[in-house]
This record gives sequence, C-alpha cells and structure tokens, in this order.
Amino acid sequence: MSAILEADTLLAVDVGTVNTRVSLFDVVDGRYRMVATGRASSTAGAPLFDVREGMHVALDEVSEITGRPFFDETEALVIPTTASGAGVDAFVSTASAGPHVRTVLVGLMPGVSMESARRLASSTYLHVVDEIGLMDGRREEALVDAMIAAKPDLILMVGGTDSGATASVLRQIETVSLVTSLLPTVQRPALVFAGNTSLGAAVMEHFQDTSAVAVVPNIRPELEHEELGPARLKLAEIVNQLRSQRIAGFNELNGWSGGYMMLTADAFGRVVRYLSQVYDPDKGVLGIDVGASHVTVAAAFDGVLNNKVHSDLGLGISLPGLLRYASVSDVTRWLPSETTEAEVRDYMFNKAIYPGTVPTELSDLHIEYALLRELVRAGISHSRGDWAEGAKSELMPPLEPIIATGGAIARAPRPGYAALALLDAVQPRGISTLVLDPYNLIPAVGAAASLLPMITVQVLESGSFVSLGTVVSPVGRGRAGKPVLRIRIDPESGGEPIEGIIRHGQLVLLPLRQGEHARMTLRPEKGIDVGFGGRGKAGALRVAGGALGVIIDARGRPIELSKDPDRRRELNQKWLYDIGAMVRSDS
Amino acid sequence: MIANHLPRVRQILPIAKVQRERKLEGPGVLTVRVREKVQSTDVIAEVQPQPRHHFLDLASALGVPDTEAARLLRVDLGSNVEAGQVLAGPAGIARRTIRAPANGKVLSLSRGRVLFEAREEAHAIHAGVPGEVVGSDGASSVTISAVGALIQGAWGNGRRGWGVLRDVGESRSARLEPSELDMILRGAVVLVGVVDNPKSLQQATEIPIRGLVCGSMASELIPIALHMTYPILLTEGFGATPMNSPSYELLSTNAGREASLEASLLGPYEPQLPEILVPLPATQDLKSPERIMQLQPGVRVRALRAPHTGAVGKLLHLMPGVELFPSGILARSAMVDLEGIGSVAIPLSNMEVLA
Repeated sequence: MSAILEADTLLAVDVGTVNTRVSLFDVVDGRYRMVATGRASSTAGAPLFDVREGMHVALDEVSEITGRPFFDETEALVIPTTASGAGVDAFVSTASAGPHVRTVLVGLMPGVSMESARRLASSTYLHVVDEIGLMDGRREEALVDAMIAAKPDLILMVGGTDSGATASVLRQIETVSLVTSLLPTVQRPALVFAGNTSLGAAVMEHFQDTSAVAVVPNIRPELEHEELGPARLKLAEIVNQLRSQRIAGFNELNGWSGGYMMLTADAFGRVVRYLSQVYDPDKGVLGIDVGASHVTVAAAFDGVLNNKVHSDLGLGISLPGLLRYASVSDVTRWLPSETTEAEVRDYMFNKAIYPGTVPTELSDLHIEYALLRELVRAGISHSRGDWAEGAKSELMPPLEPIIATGGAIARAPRPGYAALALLDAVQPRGISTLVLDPYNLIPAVGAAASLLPMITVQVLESGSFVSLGTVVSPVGRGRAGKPVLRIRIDPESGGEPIEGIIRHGQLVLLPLRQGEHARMTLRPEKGIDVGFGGRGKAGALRVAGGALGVIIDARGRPIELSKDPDRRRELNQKWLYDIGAMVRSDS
Repeated sequence: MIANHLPRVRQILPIAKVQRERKLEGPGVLTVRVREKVQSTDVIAEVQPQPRHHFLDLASALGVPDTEAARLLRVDLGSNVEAGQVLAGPAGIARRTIRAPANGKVLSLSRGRVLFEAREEAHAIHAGVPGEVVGSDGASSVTISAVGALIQGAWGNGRRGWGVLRDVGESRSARLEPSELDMILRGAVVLVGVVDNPKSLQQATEIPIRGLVCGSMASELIPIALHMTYPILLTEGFGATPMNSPSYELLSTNAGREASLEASLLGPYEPQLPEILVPLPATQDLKSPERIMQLQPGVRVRALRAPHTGAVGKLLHLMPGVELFPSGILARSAMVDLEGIGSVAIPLSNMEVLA
C-alpha cells in the first residue's frame, strides 16, 4: 500500500487461529491512540470456516464501547467516516489463521539455494513437507511419487545464481513439470520459481501446458547475496489466495483493506525492523509473538530483519510440536511446585484440543508459563543462527527493547509472570527493556505503517504498550552471594536516590514507576559486564520506569538451574516472589 | 442477557439428522447414486491408491539410440497393460524386450525413456453410516444423510469404523483393563471411562474390536493409539477425566445397537469433529444440529478446564464485568450450576455449549 492517507480513524482486524481482534484508533490531541479493542473467538476453522462471524462479534464489542456503528444497512463497511460518526477513515487487516500451506522446496545445493529457500519458507506461514535438492539420494521416480504423496499446496523452486547453473536447475524443473502434469487440475499446486533469473522464460515454457508459474527475482542472485523480499511478497499473496479458497470472508477483508491484507507475521516483522532503525543502532530489537498455532521470532539489527515463523510451535494446537524441540523435563524444570511429567504432557495435549481456554488454577498457570518459556526458548534457538548479530555466541546480543505479545503473555495476572518468563526464556544481557503488547496492536500498526506512517510511532509511544521496566543483566563469573554490582538510581522527579549492592544470584526490583525517568549508575565488579563496553566498566544512563520498575537480574548467564528438584522448585518460587508475580497470599 | 462471545458447541443429541461427506483421496469410481439407501458396510466408492511411477530406459535396455526407442514401443501411450506384458522390443540379435513391471500403463516416452504408472489394487470406501445418499459430484464425493444419536468427541486417532456398542466398565469413570477384553467383544465398539494401560490398546487389536470410545486416555499412549487399526475416540481429552455424563448416558443406553465412529484427527481446519452416531429410525422431520449457539441462561454447558474438567451443568447467569480466579486471571465468566458440584463461576472461554 503506497498511498499515504489523511485519516483520523483506523480500524484494524487481526484474524488469529483462536482469537479475532479488532482495534479502533483515533486521533486524540493530535496523536493516534488506540481507543477501543474487541476480541472474539475466531471462526476461521470448524464448524463455520468463515472469518466474518468472529469479526462481527469483536466489532460489536468495539461498537458497544464507542457507540460507533461500522456497517451500513447492507452490511458494508462504511469508509470514510460519515458526518454522523459512523464508519472509519481507513481499514487494515492481518491474518495468521488458516490451514498450513503444504510446501515442497525444490532447489540445488543444501548450503546455498536450499538454505535460502528454507529461510524464505520459515519467514512466513509455510509448512515444508519435503525438500528436493541436487544431493537428494532418491531416484527420479521416487521423487515424483514423493512430491505427489506430499499433496503440496505450493512448490517453491529455487537454484542457480544469476550467472550460474542452468542445466541442473532445468532438470529439477522438468521433474516438477512432470509432477504437475500427473496431478488432476484441481490438485495442482501453486508454483513459484525464485532461481536463476535468466531461466524465467524457460521455466514458464515448461509449465505452459499444465499450470501457471510465478517467476520472481532470484532469492540467491549471487553466492554471497540473498534477496528474499520480492519472493516473500509473492508468497504472502499465495498464502492469502489459498486461505481465501478455503475460508470464507478473507476476500471481503482483503477488499476492505484495498487488496493489501497482510500476513500477521509480516506486519509484526515490519514494526520490529522499524524500531531497530529508531532505537540504539548498537543494539538489536527482539519481537516475540506466541500465538496458539505459531511462534514468531523477529530480530532486527539496524534495519536488517530476520523474521521466523515457527508453525510447529504455539500455545494451542501446535503445542505438542514443542516436544520435538524440548523434553517434558525441560518444561517441569521451571515449575515452582511438584508436578509430574505425565500431568504436564496431558496438559499440553489438552491445550491443543481446547486452545482458547485459560488457566484458572495456580498450578495450571505455572504449567502454562513454564510451557511459554520453552516455546520462546525453542523459537529463539531455532532463529538465532540467521540473526545479523550474535548468531554464534552463547550469550544473547544486546537487545533494546524486547517486545512480547500473544494470548498468554497478554493475560498475565501480574506483570511479574510475563517478565520472569521472558527473562528465563530470552536471558538478555546488559541493559534492556521489556515491553508487552497486551492488546496485540503490533500487527495493526505494522499493517497501517505505509498508509499512516505516524501511527506506528505514536501508538508505540502511547500507553497502549506496557513497559515492564528496564532490565540490567550482569554477565560474568560469580559465586552465589558475591557482589557483582553497585547501583544508584537518581529519580529525575527529585526523590530519594536508591543505592545498593547486587549479589550474584539475586533478582531484584527497584522502584521506578511507569512514566518516570531516572539516572542509573552501574559500577560492576571486576570481571562483570553490564553493557558499558567491557568487564568491570562502569557507566550511567537515563532509564525509564515500568510496571515493575528497574529489574536487576543477577542470576548469571546462562541461568543455571539446580539439579536437585526440591532446591530448583524453591528457587523458581523465590524468583516468582522476588519479581512480584506471586505475593504471600497466593501460596 | 446473551454474551458477546462465540462459544464452542458440542453436539450430544439423542436424535439428530446429520450429513456426512465422503471424499475420495485419489482417482476412483463412485458406486452409489443420489437417493440410494446405504448401510454402514455398503461400498460407496472404489479408490485407486496413489500409483507408483517407474522410468524405464528403453533405449539403453534395448541397446538402441534414443530416437529408435519409439519405434520399438509395442503398446499405445495411456493404454492399460498387464504385468509381464511386452512393452517394447524385441531388438538386436538377442531379441531383447522390456516387460511391464506391474499392471499399469505407459504414460509418456521421452528421450528413450518411458514413464510407467503401476496400478495398485483399488480399495473400497464404505458408507460408514446407514442412511441415504443425498449429494454427489459424480466423481469424487458422496454425501450421506443419516439419523441417530449423535455424540461429538474431543480427539480421535484418524480412523473410521462401526460395530455393536458394548459398555464394558458400566461406569463413566471405569478404567479399561486388558483382562476385560475377551472374545465376547470381538467386532464390538467398546465403551469405557479411562484408558491408561498400553496393553489394553494392544489387546484390543488381537480380539479384534471395531472401535473404542472412552472419556480420556493418558497422553503418553498417543503414539500407540495412532498406530491402532481400529478407531479410538476420546470424549474429554487426555488424563483420567471420566466421560461427561450426558455422553455416557446416551451411549450406555444405546449399548447393544450398532454405532458408527468417525475418530477424526485433531485440527482446527479439519472439516469434522470426532463423533459417534448411533443410527436410529427417523421419527419426525428432523433438522440438522445448530452450529452456532449463544451463551445464555438455561443452556447446558460443559467445563473444559480444571478444577471441574468435564463437569456438566446449566448456565445460571452471565456475570457482569470480569471475575478473578485463583490463578489471578481475570475473565468474563458465567455462573453455572454443575451437576453434583453446585454453583461455580467459570470463564466463558472454559466452557462449551451442549447442543
């Protein structure tokens, strides 16, 4: 969407697997603000397979709150706003709901074109069901049968730099062409060729009698250069088309969005990249979205984004997928009370059946947050290899801020639950800020960014996002109880300064309310790095307060949990108290 | 008051009219017509499994140039051939020939190679439910209308089957012990409360039973359950939760009747929930079950989460604002009178409406 609009009100709809969220933005005191949100169960899946029902229920909620009708008597969305205040000036929509797009990757070399294809596929809602490269040991007929058996919705063909291989690419294309000719017309997959640009015409010729093929710029034009952007746009279009074929209502949403309905992950990534351009260029921005069906990890360093959608991870239908990355004991190690592995496993599979349910018992809440930790850990560990910074280091690269969203994070009963889960899972180092997006506004502002450029920054700076606080995570060897850091916080409001010594193993909250600022001075011990340019280096900076104030996490990096289950549970419980997630009356 | 919330709906109906679509997964032939009456065991289609393909290099096997291969081909492209039939040749002094590796057909010839499609034995698709064929596209799908007691479940192992329903434990919380599975249950659909012993699942294969309907199952048995050849359907989910009382009452009172099981796999985009249909004669002009229902006073609901997982009751009223729960979660809730428990607040998202 390129045209910049003059618009006061914006309506944004995000269709997730479990929830459909609607957000209304309006200009208040010259700045965009989120004025109301509504949420309803998504109806993209069974039994309705029609997103409109869920969207209307969520919109009714917003209408009730604001008194603003959105539809006319013909059930058409009113754009622009009428003199009587009905409708909106602009509309954007995003979606992550929809069946997996079964994808076969066809390329040449495992570490080159296939690697880029894998990265491309994992940046959006594709589910790779088979990969066929030059080194594939299967016979040609076995490849043909495998591709047919895979029942792909999409075959993504890559390979060859722009001045590179042609014959081997065309051999692969021939196999795909044969497969499509063997399939009945209605079962033929969408075809995308993103390989050697000089082969575009030849590729189209191969498929002229069977299927249409989209030829997009090479994702690996040179050996050392990867260009995923144009192919990603085409894939987004195909994902939307496939969803529209299977689920009613997407066409309508797309129409209201001017034909630019975005994938939620793309909109999320867009915001993370934008923030990396406006925040400290020496630090990256990390965005984590834990949905029911996907975990999206977006990391951007000075405008270079790596966005990864993990379709086999999520806190709902995809939750059992976590067992491919982590064991049940990896989950139970974060629990503050004794829970059997069988209970946790049953919990995981029940949550997959009933993804929209919420934990009402404290023990269930703890299981849910333990699962959240492992989902985030798995998502990050399988993304980090492609990050522009810190890909090979055991420690996280410096991050500012870390933004998290998703149902479980958004409904944390106390901010401490979300903060501790993020600290345990991400284990940031140095100085960072934890920010929550409780209303899931990031996709909305990401989708609206090109239409209303000011909305992103103005909404991000509004109170719609919750800053949990500034986090200081000293790194270095230490023994439990040994001082690692002296800290002094001088509130700008002129209150009493706070001073203290932080010891290894401590998790400490220092008061600094949301909206307040202070000068924070850190004097680490020799061998301890707090992010001021090396071990033992002291420094001061201006920090903002948050829901939890300033969080000092001196538990070490990586956090080493006790092997003794009783001791480990005690510590997990202590940390929950230390960070204010639990209070004495909870136990 | 009606909640601004779309609840899950689960059908537990003493009698309902349902339509079930049978789609062919591959090329095949439909063997029934619209308005035809069918029984569960009737074959409604024959489906060709996905064929296997072979490249046969005629030129090199016959020792001729690529361009000569076409001349030596003895069968027409696309025509059916039998296993062992000569496809090409003879050629050369040794009068070499190429024979069909299986029943099938030659699809194409290019650069001296033929692409051969081996045809596998067709397999039958059964109606699975007794009823009437009410729709068909004439090529790949058939819709059957059936009447009976309908019980939707929570999880299935992806199989379909039918047999006479037998209540083994005679209680909705009874555990299935391997020793209870004897030859009297051969061909039966077994009704039980809880399964937590892998030996029970394996023993059931040996009898064999035709299906297993239980309240819940230990999740560690999932890999075994997915390998069983008979359908397994859970009404509640995983763990040791007894079967919900309306499902158990309906199933146990229908013990002795034939039941059809569609133990569909879990997935939000799967067209059908797992379900059991106990066919009954249609007594009146029945409507199809409601797919959307409102949360409002008087509706029957079932709790989906602890502390009252599986309990069933009547919604008393929707609570204003949000309710605080022991976990600290705030949620829009309803007051529900649960059978045997009394009035409790349950988050709207933690209940489903029983149709």
